[in-house]
Amino acid sequence: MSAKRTADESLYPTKRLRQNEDQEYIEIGNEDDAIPPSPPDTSLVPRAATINFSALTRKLAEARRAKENDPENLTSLEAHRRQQDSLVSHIFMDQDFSWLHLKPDHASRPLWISPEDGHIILEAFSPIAEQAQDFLTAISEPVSRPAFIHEYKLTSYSLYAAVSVGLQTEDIIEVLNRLSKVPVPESITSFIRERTLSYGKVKLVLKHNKYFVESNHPETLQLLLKDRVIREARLFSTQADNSIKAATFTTTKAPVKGNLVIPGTKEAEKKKDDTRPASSNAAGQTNGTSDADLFTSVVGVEGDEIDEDDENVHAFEIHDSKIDDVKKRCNELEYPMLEEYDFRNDTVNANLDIDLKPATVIRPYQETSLSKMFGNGRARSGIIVLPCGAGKTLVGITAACTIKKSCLVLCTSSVSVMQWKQQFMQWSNVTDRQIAVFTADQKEKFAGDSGIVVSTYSMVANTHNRSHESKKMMEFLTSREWGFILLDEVHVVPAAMFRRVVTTIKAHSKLGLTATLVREDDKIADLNYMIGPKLYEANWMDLAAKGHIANVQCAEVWCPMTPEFYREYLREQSRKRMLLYCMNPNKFQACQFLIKYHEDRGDKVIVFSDNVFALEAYAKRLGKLYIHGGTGQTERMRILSWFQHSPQVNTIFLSKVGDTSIDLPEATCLIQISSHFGSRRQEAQRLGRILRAKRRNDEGFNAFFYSLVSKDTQEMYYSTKRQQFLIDQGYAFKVITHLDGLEDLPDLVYRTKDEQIELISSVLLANESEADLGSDVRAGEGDLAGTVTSKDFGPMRFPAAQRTTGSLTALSGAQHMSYIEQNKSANKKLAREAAPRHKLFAKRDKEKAAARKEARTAGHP
Amino acid sequence: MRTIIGILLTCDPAVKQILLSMNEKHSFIIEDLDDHHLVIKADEEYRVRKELEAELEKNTYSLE
Amino acid sequence: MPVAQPYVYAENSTTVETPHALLPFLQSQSQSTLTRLYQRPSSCLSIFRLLAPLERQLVMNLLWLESAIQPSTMGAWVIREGKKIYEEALTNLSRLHILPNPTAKLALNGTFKTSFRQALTGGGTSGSFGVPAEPDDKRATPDIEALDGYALERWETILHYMVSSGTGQHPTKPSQGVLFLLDRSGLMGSFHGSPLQITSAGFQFLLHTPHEQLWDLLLQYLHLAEERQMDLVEVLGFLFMLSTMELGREYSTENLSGTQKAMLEDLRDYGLIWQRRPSSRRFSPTRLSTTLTSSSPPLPTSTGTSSGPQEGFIVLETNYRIYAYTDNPLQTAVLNLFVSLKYRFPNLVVGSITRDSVKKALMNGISADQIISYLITHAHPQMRKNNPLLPVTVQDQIRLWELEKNRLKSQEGYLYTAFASQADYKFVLDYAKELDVVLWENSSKRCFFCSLDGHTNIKGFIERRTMVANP
Repeated sequence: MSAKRTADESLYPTKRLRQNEDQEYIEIGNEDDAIPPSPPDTSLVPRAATINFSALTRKLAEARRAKENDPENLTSLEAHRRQQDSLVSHIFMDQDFSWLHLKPDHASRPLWISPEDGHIILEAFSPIAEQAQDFLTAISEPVSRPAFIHEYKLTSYSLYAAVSVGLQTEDIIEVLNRLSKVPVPESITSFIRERTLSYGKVKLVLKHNKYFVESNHPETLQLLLKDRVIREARLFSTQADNSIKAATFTTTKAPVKGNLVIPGTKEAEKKKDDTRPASSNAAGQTNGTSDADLFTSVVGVEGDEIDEDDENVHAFEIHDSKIDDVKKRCNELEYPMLEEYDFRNDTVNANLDIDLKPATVIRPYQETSLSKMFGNGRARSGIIVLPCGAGKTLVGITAACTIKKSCLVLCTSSVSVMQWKQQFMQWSNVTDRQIAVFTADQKEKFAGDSGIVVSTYSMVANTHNRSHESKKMMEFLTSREWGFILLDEVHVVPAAMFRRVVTTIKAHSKLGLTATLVREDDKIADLNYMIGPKLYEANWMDLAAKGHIANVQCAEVWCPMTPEFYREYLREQSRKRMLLYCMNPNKFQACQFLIKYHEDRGDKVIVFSDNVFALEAYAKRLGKLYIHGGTGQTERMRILSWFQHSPQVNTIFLSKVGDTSIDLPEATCLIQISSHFGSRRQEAQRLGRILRAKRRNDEGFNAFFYSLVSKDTQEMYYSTKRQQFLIDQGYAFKVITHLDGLEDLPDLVYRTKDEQIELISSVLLANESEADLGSDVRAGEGDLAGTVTSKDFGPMRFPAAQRTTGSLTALSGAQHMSYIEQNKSANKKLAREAAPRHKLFAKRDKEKAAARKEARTAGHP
Repeated sequence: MRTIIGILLTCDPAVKQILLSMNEKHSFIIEDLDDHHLVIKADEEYRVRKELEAELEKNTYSLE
Repeated sequence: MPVAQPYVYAENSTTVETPHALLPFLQSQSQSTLTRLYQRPSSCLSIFRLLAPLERQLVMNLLWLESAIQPSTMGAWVIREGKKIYEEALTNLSRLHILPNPTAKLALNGTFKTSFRQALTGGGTSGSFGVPAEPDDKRATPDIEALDGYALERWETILHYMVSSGTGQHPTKPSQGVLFLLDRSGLMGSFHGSPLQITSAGFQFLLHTPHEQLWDLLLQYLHLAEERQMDLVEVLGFLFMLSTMELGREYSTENLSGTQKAMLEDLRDYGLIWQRRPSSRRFSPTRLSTTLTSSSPPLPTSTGTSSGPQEGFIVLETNYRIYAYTDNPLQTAVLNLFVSLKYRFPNLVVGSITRDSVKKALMNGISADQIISYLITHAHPQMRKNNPLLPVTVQDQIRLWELEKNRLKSQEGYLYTAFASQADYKFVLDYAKELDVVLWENSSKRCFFCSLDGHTNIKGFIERRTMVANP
């Protein structure tokens, strides 16, 4: 233990460095005088600065090496190595950092930093990797996190996020240096300094229904006011101030952190158990502190109160309507505004008396994510990224229960609205009177001074054609100050819609939730200034390993095109190519085989198809239920309920409407037959459908994720591209080129050439528009496009015009229409059947299924 | 009886379909034997291989 | 997941160890050569060390017996499952003439027995283990570190020269003798008088373990020695002598034969021995020599920093990333054969296995299996937690890329078609089949395709027939 302690002490800062703070401010001031605010730099590392610097460092290193190169001092082996070294160096071009000096104790330090682009490479097997990961997720973007070695990248955004959770510039550099095998390159330290020193200095605060730009540094405010956009957004208040220094600003005392406790956490438990004998408590305490607390002190959970103590805060007011412009401008000026809400000292807005139910305990990573939000006792605005099924909803609810002020929840569809309300009732002690929903169908207000409203983005952002009721409801929403606004699935919301929401609703703090922030996405920039920085991003593999989300086996099944289909594919230049590779008979067969295989082992299967034509053709031919945009609301609910409860319905086909917002914890196997080109996000969203599988904690349980891909077509290209996000999360896609036993499947579809030719005729007859993806999905009054309950769908189109091509006659004289007639919709059959059966029968069926399953699992340990 | 000099190509059905479609633009196939075999003009092999490779390359996604 | 097969083409590596590369060479030698070789105790000991475990067991069983035993006596020890490998072991030993006639009676070759006993118990005056040089008061014996450095430098110079050829780089050239050997062995080649270029055999060679590489080269050397009509017994005897010597000790050249003295220069070039001056009368074997017949690594595992080939330095992730813990330029250059390299830190090289990087390797004649086995051989200790060692998905993908390359097979030849009758067709086809030149046939279409070589024969055959039919 003691040996370990000393090792730790050599690695982590025990005291934070703060000595030359004043000096730095002076430097910054000078710089700002000399250099006018630069236009926004989209490249993540300012090129000029870093390249020159590292080039110089390299030159110095080479010069040193040249000196050492004096042949007198070298053994022939060394000389020989030098020579060889220069021979391989060219491979790396400007990414050869072998000139960096390894620290003597590098083996016990877990990371390398690239001086050129801020790339960080971390040994995830290092004994201190876990703490290092906490630190790195706070300051950088995770790039890849497979089993042994992780990569991260320092970016402007990530440093903004780091500062906003309370990290200090010098601490970031200090810890980085302690973790690094090589000294942190000068280019990186100057990048961090440059980016962070201006960050975190300005805050946007809502007080008494008015917005203020706030800072501890009056000179920063003055600098901002030199900008025309900001100057014009300013609203002059009548309030007088007698401070000479900040003549034009209002000045108040800065808030100080108290002893805020997030409900549902261990700390909350501890508080309750305070009656325990002190001795055992203290012992546990000291054990726990050694590693973790040292890190906490840097990672900033206990944060930044010290240096803010007793400082004055200066502010000026801005127009409500200009907030968005000001925020954007501040970002461009490299002074992004932090939004923090000191809810405990807000005496203007009424408290909302809600708490988590005593039985509700949140998981460690949920706690971590929340600690980033409430680190300094106030509520920071930002985004939390957790994989689907990892309990984003509970994180949101816990945040609402911590702030205890009126709360507005916005989600993508009316189904989600109901789910959110139900979850609030389940996890917290909120009463029915305190929570209201606002959808196309329901327009409720809560009783009392404070409460929760759950609605959809569309309901709130929609400007025209409002009913009288809706108008009144909007007045209710816009006239008041909200303590907290919860934004669900932020990645799907269009920027314009966000802007409307953010400017019409006055909220003190905002929390965005999402499962997938694909890095290359332009959205990050929008979300960053409209909501705030990314506060936390979970590690998928880690959550799977700890049993919080299901383990998933991923596979890509290669289905060769039949010669007939491929011949048409090669001829076809239009969008119909897509229809041809979706309808490939070999893919059809693979799908049939996999459904059979997984149904037999007791799985519940969802088959996804973005293409509606293929969806219907597959579902009908294989006799399965399906839901797409044209499926009526009651039918949908009935199908979902059958899938969830009936042992007879083990497979359903879903179109794009099933990508998000549909919660089917029964599903354990997922098959994709058609998808949205190379969308990495859709791939991740779909995988998310099985991550919350109910059975995930059964021993050795695996969920299955298949992509069926037609070989030698564009689909192969898209498929590889789609997987990249998940592969970087550590998932591995196994390629399957042959399914054993497929040939022996009784009633295998399209076994004969004749049947295949019939199939191809029907495809060739289809309209080109049938090849479109997601053609069934439109935005509705209350819902965003692409959600399961979107209402206003276009009518289903069937092939209207018949087109006969030369190639068709060349195939055979097949009667193409017979194919559709043979395939009656299983949906229709279901509709005829009496809906849910008598309870007694249902129960008996369930028991039978359970017995069958047991017998199977006994057979296959 | 007739003999024709040429190159026997052995391939999978998909590759054969690509070759057939290439042949429509610029004829090089002497005889279409079966799903897996073709005979082509001897001096065309290099060009055919290049073109085929380019065609197949269209369907691969590369990280870099 | 259903019983799904990825395209695993190569047989999963079998547990049977491949015999040492030198043994087939020895087996091809005449009985008299081998018997002369067996007169040297050091050779017997070295060969014994190269044998498979079961073969060693058999030799030990018989070594101290004065008379032969019946095959059935020994056979009684063998269980049914082991019968096959037992018989293989007997065959191998008989081909080496260690166990001359195993079907009749089991007894060791007398010469081998005498020498090997001597090797184990000592005695004799043949000096087959080398004669240590008298201590020199003026000069200190070179220490092991210096010898290691020397061996590494020589050896890496050879490999680096190979790997850099054709890249536009100009590494140090090895000696003329080494270049000649590389050329003759087909590891490098010169086309139309151009400078030496690495061949596909050479690329494959680079992925072998140092021990395999060393013997690959020495085997080439032995073939060359045969051509030069050097006495093979002297050459082999010297190599075996070196393999039993002690690292860090100096030996005298006085007792070496003329052939062996002539070898000194070559061995210096390969880094097997060190001499202060070419004319020096003493020499020191390096680690490359002393481990020739042992299982210790032939190159020092560490020289000062982390450099030099060491066991297990590569981490391969499921996202196709490669992290190689090395600062060794040669290892880096070898990785560059099939990895797209990106970053280089003082002790780490980072890259990815990409379709392009693997395709480049395949074009150079490296096979998917060689890449995979290189990655397995050098897998980082952390990777041992995995089962299987390498991510299956990446292995499969590398093999799939290889298959992609082979989608189109082409063979030049003639298409025979438009036969007048089925009988004619069958007649010609049967003849062509006899010659084994038919590449494709279809009797319903009455045509077949034959190879270029076969055509002349068939044409001649048909002409002869036609002449007979219509004189």
